[in-house]
Amino acid sequence: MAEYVILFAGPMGAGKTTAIRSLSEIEVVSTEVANTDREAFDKPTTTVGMDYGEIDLDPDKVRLYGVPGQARFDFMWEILRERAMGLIVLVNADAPEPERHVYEHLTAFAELARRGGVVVGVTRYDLQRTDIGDRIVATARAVLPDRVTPVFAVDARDQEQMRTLLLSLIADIETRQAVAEAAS
Amino acid sequence: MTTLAPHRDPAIVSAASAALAGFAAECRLVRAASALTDDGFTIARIPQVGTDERLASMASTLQALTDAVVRELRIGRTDHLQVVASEGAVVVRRVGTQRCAIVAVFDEPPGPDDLTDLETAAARLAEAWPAG
Repeated sequence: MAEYVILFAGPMGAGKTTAIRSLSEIEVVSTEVANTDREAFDKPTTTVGMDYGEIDLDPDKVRLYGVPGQARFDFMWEILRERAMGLIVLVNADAPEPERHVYEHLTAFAELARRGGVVVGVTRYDLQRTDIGDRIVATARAVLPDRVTPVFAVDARDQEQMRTLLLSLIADIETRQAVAEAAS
Repeated sequence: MTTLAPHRDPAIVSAASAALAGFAAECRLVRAASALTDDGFTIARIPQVGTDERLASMASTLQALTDAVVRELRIGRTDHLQVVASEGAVVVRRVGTQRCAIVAVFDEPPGPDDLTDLETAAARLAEAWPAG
């Protein structure tokens, strides 16, 4: 039995808390508070500490941590990424320049992406069907040229879609671990 | 229609500045303090220069994590939280029922009088908070 620690990162409003709630089999520990600056971002709540959930993928246990989306909480990014083994970057397709958010978050977590595994989930894709998928794939390739970064269109509210994303990440981690072991 | 964010509301910023100034005048141990929104924006701070920009966001994280623990353990509502370190201490106290708190950094672990000063500052800000 393996235990995986997975981080959910991405900008405010991308669906990180929703995704963890969709996946978790325990009641999610949340640090959501009221967003007091609705003028800057029209969303009722925001995460200021972390979200935490768990899921059993028999025989493996997966611990799910969501980090705050706003950069002023990046000290939490540093704390949580140290023990993480994989990264799910979520971005919403209807945000201005979603590929910029992919660039920023993949850059901030590049060491984790190289050490463990990484996938990108694009939410609200149905609202913004443009070339955004291609732009995000190109951005991921530019930040992490030495590896393939899978990009999925997902609905963070959909448990099955999020499960598929998570399983893809774990397969990526296990494959990389097997390759590393074979090479050593 | 959106409401003006507390950290941009001149009346709230003024009330918070006055509460912090009164606290600094009464409490000899305080090194720095900020009034902050629950989501980590600085409303006012002392001293104006040299206070860590991230003090407010770190305090809001501490407050939210503490609230999560209090909620999980079903032990009521958070009154204040205190972190004691080898060369100082940090206390975060909620401002009444507002989505606001005051964080104070002390040169050494605060005594009962210092904590009362902080409680008084929070009460003053809660009282001065504009209605609506």
